[in-house]
Amino acid sequence: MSVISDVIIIGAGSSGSAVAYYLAKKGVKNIVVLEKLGMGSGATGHAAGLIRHHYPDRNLVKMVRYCSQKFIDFKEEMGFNIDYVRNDFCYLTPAGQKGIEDIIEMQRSEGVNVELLTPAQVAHIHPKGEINTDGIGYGLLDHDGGYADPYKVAVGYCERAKQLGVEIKIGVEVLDFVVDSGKVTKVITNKGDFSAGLVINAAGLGASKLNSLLGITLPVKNFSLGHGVLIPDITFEPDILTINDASQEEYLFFLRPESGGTALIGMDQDDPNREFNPDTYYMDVPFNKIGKYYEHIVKRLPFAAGFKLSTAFGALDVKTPDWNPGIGFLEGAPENYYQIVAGSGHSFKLAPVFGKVVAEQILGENQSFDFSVFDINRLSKFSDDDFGGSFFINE
Amino acid sequence: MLNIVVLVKQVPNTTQVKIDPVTNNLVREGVPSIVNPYDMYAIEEALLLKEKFGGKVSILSMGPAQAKEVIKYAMAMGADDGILLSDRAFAGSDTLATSYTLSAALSKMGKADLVLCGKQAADGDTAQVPAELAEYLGMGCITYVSKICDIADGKITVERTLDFAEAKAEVSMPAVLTLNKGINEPRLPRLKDMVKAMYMSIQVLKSNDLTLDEKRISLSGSPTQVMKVFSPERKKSGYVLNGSSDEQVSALVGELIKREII
Repeated sequence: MSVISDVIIIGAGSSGSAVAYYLAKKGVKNIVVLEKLGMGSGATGHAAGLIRHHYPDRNLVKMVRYCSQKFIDFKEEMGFNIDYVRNDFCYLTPAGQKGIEDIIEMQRSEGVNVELLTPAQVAHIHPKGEINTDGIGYGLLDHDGGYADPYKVAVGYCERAKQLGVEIKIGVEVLDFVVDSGKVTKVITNKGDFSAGLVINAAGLGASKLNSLLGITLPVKNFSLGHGVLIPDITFEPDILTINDASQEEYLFFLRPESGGTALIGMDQDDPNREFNPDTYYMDVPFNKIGKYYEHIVKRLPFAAGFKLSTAFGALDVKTPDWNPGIGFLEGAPENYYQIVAGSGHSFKLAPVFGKVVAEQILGENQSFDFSVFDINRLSKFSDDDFGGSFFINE
Repeated sequence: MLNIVVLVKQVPNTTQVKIDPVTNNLVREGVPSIVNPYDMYAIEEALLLKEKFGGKVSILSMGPAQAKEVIKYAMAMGADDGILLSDRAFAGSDTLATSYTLSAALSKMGKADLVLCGKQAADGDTAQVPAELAEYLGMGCITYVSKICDIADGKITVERTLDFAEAKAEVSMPAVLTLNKGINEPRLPRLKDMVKAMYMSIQVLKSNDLTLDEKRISLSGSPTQVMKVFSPERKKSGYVLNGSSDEQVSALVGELIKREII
């Protein structure tokens, strides 16, 4: 079997799906999305779905502002319910971190409704009980926060894309590429060959593996996050504020409400020195690695001590040295090979902007947002030694 | 006061179990382990009995060092202590060698009033260890218990649910019971329980900590030989439902009704 189309998108996570939708919306015909497992089955489906505006970069703040409005309007615009819930989002910074006031000022100038809380104010911000403020610098209270189901966002984009004529092929795994005269001329899969004028790698956790088929290596690393579903022993309304504790680098976590009166916790990488292979990584979290985390969480949020642990599962994410994804045509790579790498999971909240701007970039239109921060060619200047810090703090 | 020992086995999680094509053994390396789901009912029942009669719940397991994880989970549920039999000298044990080794550990642990087990392990499915263990310890054994009715005068009365019959049975203590799925609802540990369990220690016993006849342990003490273990052949007969989500759901529900599944 051989299928010829204009655009092949590899991966139906939040990024690939959004790009498929925006390209189709702009009138691009013959778009095929190749998905190995299922829509949103990788990092997207295991992402926390947090929507917030705490970024130190003005461009990023503009983008997340745009995206959070898109999530609010998603149901109306896309005809698909993504379980969006608006709630307050309180980000706890480490004591002594400089420049917070300037960042808040910048965020406010971009229209973010954010308050700067002292530790004494943080202590009483949670309606379910006191917060222990040891080691906390500030609380950044974002009144425009929220959360949604990232899986449903991917499915929502896919469904609308299908209505616009996009073909979504599930169970199709890319095995190799054929390159001729500097172009990818064929995408070889387990279900036959595909060819197109443009090939977009939006394979998330699998993006590096695809790149390696083309001899492309970029400084990206997979890392693991631990998530747990908790059953609170108190009423836990879906719009109770989310706590994102970034005060201690070794114990970064969030606690947010989840549907059905439950709560979701997320913890940063359980072992920063371990490489994870998405094909062999199992979705579980070993007890001894998270016990210390639970201890920190219970200390920080004493009211959660009695929350029951229903299930714990691991999620994989991909990072670059500066924590921003890499998007665009890479110099030296085949000229019709476009990439969206290392946006897995944590950039779910940017999916609408990814879709919109990537479509604009590909069609040579004026870009609605400055994407230089995501330029894939910047990654060439990094090496593996540049990895450090953490997503919550460095972003 | 009841001194209860719960036998817990760590089993590989999910369908990711692989079989070594050469040795025909299960490959456990890299596969996450969970408490054998049937053992969860034994842990819960032990905790319920302790709450009613007082006493102590100990967890006993045999396996590699990573089996500590499942003992810790049982401790987070409320078990008081845990012992892990872990030694290369135990490797390759079949059910007979395993139950022999466990019986040696139980003898060392002192008097147990009750030994509770899940009805079988989710990986091996033999359901042999509890009965063999009872034999070694000279205890009575009742399998497939669906209800513990009463404990009085050194006797325990239970209901058994079998495939085609129900039975009421009585046994003198000490005794070994295997419990059916659904006898209770295993509790979930709270965050503070997980923290507490993290600080509890597990006693690890090696072969020289026990009084053992070396001919009766490990592969040499195992009369059972597994000739071949293989994955069942996948029979492809599925088809894909098309249409909108609503259409797919109604087609699926219609099919399930047609096949009398729901």
